[in-house]
Amino acid sequence: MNSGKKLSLHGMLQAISRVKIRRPITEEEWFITIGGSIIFLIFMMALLAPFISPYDPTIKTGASYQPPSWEHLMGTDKFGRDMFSRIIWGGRIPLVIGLVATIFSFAIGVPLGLLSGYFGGNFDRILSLVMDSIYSFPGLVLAIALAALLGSSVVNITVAIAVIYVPTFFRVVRGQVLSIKEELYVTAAISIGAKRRTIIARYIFPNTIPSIAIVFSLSIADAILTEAGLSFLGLGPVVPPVPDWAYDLQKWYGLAVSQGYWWLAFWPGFFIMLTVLGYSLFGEGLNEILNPMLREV
Amino acid sequence: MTNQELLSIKNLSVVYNTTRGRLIAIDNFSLGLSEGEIISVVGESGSGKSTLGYAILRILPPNGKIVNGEIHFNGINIIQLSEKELRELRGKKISMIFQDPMTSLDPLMRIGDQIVETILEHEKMDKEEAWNIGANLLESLRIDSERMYDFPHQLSGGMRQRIVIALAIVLNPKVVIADEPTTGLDVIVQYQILDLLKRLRDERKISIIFITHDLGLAYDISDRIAVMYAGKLVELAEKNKLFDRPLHPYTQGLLKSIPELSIDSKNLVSIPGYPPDMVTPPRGCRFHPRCPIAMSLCRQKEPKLIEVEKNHYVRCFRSGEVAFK
Repeated sequence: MNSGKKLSLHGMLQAISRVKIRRPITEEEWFITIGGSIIFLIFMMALLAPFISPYDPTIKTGASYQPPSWEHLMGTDKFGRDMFSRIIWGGRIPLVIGLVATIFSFAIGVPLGLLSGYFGGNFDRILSLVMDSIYSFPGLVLAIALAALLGSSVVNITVAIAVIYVPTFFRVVRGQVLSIKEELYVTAAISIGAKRRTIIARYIFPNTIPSIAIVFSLSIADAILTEAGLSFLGLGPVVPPVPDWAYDLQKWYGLAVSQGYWWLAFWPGFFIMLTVLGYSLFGEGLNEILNPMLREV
Repeated sequence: MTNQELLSIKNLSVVYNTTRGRLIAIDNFSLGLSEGEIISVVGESGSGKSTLGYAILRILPPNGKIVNGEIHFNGINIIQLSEKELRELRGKKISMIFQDPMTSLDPLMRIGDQIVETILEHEKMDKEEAWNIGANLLESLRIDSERMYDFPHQLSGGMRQRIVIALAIVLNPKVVIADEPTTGLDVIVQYQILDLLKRLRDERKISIIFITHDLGLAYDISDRIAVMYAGKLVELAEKNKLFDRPLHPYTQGLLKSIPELSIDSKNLVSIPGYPPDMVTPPRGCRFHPRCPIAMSLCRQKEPKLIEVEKNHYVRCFRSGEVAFK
């Protein structure tokens, strides 16, 4: 392939072996694959909970405080409920809240970011100020305040978490729009008489999607952690005996430490960690792959 | 200038507000374009030639402002149009081909979608009809209509520039402003693009303002050539006249600096000095610091654009002197 004397190692190996050497899988491709698989499996677990959970997670199915056994894969809690079933069911609330809250943030933050970045001026200044003030609060503190204010139901917690991530979307989209609107193809679109609406929706918005996708995945990870944080602090959306990972974690971690009932706190914590890890890997992988492309295009 | 001009620019001045102060990009510029005519606007970087194109379409960047003058198209003053009227004008009556075909197409939109989008912005028809118009247009520009399904990165530079041209002419505009449309393309493709533009002029009676820094290309394509220096029109003439008898020392310098492919020409002649800083342009004639024949009057007073012979305009005090070629 190379003309001249410079031969690459790759080329030499190919010449010697006459076997096409496959390109190794890159780190970010691993990130996306592993992250995506984790998300997929956890979602399937929560979705198929009625079919795969061995027991009803809300009723007594055995003796209290049993360590993991073949009968109860993850042991039982104080009320003799099967932890494995509670884990399977307990993902539903954090997963739904994480996803729905992030969709809300997206639905509010993205259009505002587009308009603010495109039109600029005082509108942009005021909006940026508002967003920056929300952004300057630590997310969990703001969520606690909102949860305390609104009361903790599933809907209210979702709203509280959604508010936290609006500025994240807003800032990323606004920043992107500021650079994209200087692109020649946008000027070209104006020069052929495109309406403002068309320019924003058809020319600018699609070019912000790669960045939005990254923020989306990372925000879900963060939102799940925030939901867990709220539950842990007793501000969670769940009313016992409904299973929820973070609720179980905060309920039992004391016993896990003092009595050595490690399975009660370990499994809920592990699954929260796993879910967040899945989204984070996925988001980081997307970031690695899409950002060089953004620079290239 | 005559009445049958399609586009006439009168005393146009454009200013950019920069951090260093007001930059006068175009100063009191007048030019008329007839139907089916190709005029080249030639000048160095920063001479204001691209700004001229942006000003005509009123797509100057936010810090740019038309401070004076009129631009008449078919009797309508473009300067006074509302945003909505401008939108109807852009693309449909006057359109623009941009310098860089690599970045003037949306990387995330298929070629066909960009053409359809452009058509639907102006015409009421369904998508399929618009798609067919686009496909036919591409065929007529000798591009396989299958390319409608491609994304910009799948095309070569020359192909992309032809797509950009297709976008500019799909609505049958009367005037096309081509802002250095052949920059970055190899010589053969450059001439294909020029031929294409000439064909469009012949077949569709499109008038073209061809903005370039390359006098060779200007000679090849245009009927008349306008030479700009530091925001001013310094010479305007029919192309053969300009090449045979350039009257402004800047034009003469430009012509001498075209490299010749003959054996005995060893030296590449260049104009000494640099174009002036447009925030603080020199007093008097703007070219005097670089002019080989400048006299004391040139440092004091700005020469006017005068018609030295029929349809040959020049802005120089010494243009009447025979000695100076």
